Amino acid sequence: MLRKLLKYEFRATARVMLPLYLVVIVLALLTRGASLWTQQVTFYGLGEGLLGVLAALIAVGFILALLATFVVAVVLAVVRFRNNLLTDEGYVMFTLPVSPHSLVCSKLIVSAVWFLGAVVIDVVALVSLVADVAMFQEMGRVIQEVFDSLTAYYLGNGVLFLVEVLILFLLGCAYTCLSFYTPLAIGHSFAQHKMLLSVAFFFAIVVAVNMISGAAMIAGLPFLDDLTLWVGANLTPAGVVHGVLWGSIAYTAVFTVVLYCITIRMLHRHLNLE
Amino acid sequence: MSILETKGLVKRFGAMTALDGVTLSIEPGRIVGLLGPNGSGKTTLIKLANGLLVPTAGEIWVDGQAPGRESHKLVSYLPERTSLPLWMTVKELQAFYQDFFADFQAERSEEMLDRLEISPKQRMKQMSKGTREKVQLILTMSRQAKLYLLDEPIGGVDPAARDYILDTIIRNYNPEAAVVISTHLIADVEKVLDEVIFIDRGQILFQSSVDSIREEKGMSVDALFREVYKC
Amino acid sequence: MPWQFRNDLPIYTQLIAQIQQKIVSGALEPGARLPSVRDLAAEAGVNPNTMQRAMMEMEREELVYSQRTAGRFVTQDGERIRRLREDLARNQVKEFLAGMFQLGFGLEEILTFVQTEGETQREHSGN
Repeated sequence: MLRKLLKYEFRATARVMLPLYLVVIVLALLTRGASLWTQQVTFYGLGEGLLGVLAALIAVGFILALLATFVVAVVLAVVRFRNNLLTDEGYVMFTLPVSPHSLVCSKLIVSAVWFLGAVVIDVVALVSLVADVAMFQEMGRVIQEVFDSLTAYYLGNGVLFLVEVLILFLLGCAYTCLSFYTPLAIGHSFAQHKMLLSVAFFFAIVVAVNMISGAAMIAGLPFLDDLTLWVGANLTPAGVVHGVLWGSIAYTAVFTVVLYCITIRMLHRHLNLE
Repeated sequence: MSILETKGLVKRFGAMTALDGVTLSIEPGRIVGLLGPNGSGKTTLIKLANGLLVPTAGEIWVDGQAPGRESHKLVSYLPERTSLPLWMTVKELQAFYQDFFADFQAERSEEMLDRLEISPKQRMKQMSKGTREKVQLILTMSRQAKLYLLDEPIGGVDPAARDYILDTIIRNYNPEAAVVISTHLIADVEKVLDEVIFIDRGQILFQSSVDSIREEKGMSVDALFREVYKC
Repeated sequence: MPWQFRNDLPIYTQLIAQIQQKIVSGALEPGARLPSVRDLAAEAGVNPNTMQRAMMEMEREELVYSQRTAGRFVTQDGERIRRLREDLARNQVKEFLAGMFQLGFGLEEILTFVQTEGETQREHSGN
């Protein structure tokens, strides 16, 4: 059933995200065209004036579109969660023969895909600003080189390094979504002032997370020297990078899991649709 | 075995008690009216049966199990509010129901849409409120469910649509399935009901068959309702 | 003829009365096949179980009979229909008489009244 939920979640969100991606690509190409064109006319001393302003506007639009891919992905994740599960549509969604886990997971997975898509599209768009045939030939070589040196540097763990970064990215996506889902689920379990309470709980959770991290850090402080010594004695520089990555993964995972459990519990036991 | 059964069911929202010890049982093959004024607990009871709320105390079973993922396969629910996603077309919604409910009968929905002249290509967003309600009712009634829970299905619709809704319920009648219709407009539905359950301030006043009310009291259920809830 | 219901009587007895009416008036011919209970219920706008109950009652009274596969039919027994017709007529007359007695008419008076009123109606209808 998760697969079917994913299908409809993708359809619902693709209506927004795909056109946005397209806008990014089109603006990238326009910016590229404009810059080539201005270079040429400037050569003949005609680059100033209205057309120059237009080129600048396109470039600004392009930058904004790059940012928008992420901002819209977050906003969409939040809006979809609220509208689809906590307003009238919730009557349909929560009476499907699916578990609350599937409902929440389908939203997390789809959001993560759009975040990842935003990274890919933005990179492609930026590359297309400067790309030419020679560059693509060059690029293959450079990527190979980077990978080789990564592998050499991390003693055969270049792939592991990428996997770690990917895991951290996906967890970060889930955490970002859940940091909105959880307060929304709590806020909407009340009969009135649902949105106001959601906002209040959002900040309450931010404060709580910071306090817990802070407390954990203070608690860990006395052991910092021992840890530094141990790391110095036992780990290679590559090992340190891996250690930091896995530490960040564990740290994010703990908070992600806690928020996930709270969200599920609220939806399962304390749903309160209007 | 009862298709819907509750025992000492209680639901509180903070200090407010919405259901106060409700015990009832609904058998297959019955069309049952859940009758009571606004705020009497009808919607709360139906939400509990759908697992949209969790009881404060007491128990509720749908076909012998607690409401949840499994019971959703057997229950076709028409909420009080139209709740279909507005961005979808009727055709997409049919596919959606088909995907999630093994008992959805596409031809039946096709036929009903035809009869009400609703184009499958239309988006929910473009429709009037009344048409949206009809679409949701059609999708609900196109399932071959064991229990239909219809919350105020004739609330805001015109008389022609109301007759169509009641006609749909009658034509869809199945001796294995029970239909629960919650409403406060009793005169309109009285003729299609087997039984009525009177509910007031979260408590069941009585459960009785329509004809035995008429036989014993010599008055319609509607008249009895007016007498019981006289204020 | 559209189905109509009063509020102070059970629905199934009203269903029976209206179907009997149709049989006697010939709207439902002897031996005619009846629609399915579900269709009849939909036509009358009533609960299918109630329609079923009415049918069972009429089967008991041998006004209709069902054949396992073919469906349900109006009786072909002309004698039975005649008897039904008389029963219904008798009920009508009883009701009429009760009303007249309430108005203070005596039996003789009523008979004369019916006679004169009948003559008037015959003249009006052109015979």
